[in-house]
Amino acid sequence: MVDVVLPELGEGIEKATVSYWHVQVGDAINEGDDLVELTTDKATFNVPAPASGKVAAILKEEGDEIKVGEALARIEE
Amino acid sequence: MKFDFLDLGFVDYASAYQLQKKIWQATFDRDSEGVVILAEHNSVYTRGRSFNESSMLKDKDFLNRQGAQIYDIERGGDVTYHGPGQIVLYPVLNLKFHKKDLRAYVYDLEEAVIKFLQHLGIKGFRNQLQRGVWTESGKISSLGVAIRRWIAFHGVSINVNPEKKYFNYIKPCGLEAGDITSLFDIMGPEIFQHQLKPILRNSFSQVFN
Repeated sequence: MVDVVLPELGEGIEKATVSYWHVQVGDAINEGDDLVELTTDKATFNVPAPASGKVAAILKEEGDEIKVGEALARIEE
Repeated sequence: MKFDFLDLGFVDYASAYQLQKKIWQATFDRDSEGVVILAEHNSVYTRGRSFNESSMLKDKDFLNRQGAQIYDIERGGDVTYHGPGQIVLYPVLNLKFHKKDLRAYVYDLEEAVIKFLQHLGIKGFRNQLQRGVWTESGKISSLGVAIRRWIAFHGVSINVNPEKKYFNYIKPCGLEAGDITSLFDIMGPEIFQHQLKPILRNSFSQVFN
């Protein structure tokens, strides 16, 4: 299992809001595919899949806040 | 950074949007620095990812009858209006060559607008409550961006002399229409004596070069 964590988005940015999931649990994905879109400071940003496999769990819903380093989803390789 | 400006003049929103996406792809494929698009649109409402249904004060049919289409897009922010009398800037920029920092990018966009206003003798400033650029008489510039693989698109609009009635049909970025101002509101007809786009290009280049 690989956790998908919120990456560093810039200095002083500690959290972002989940604005759009591109995938669902069970979807097959390739490394680098867009998984989820986040919003902060009127900017949206996509988090790519860190590994290929299957989406095993989505841990944050659209509208939820997430802190840098926290897990967004889990991928089964 | 090294980038070119591409002034599309008056162009419909959908075409400019498609072009942004093409330039994004080319920037990604070539790992180049990007292009900054300047445009002016027909009347449209665009709704970003933080769109709130209560920000629409009129329904779609009414807005269509006023000649305005509605687009739901992937930028940050709530609903905004674009139309004749407004300069829109779409920097399709590879932030890898600037700073890989979302907040710094938005800050720098605001900085470019503040410098542009300064050239016209207008004091522009940021507001803690909301991103964008404000003046003593109201909000003059709105922004909303999307960043994919650290290449930005969408951008920032500056009100020159838009038809203000269109702002009455929405809560622009969640604000009241009365909070919105324009260069014409502040300077009157004198504004038309200025070559605004060259000033904007210079201000933008000062911040991003």
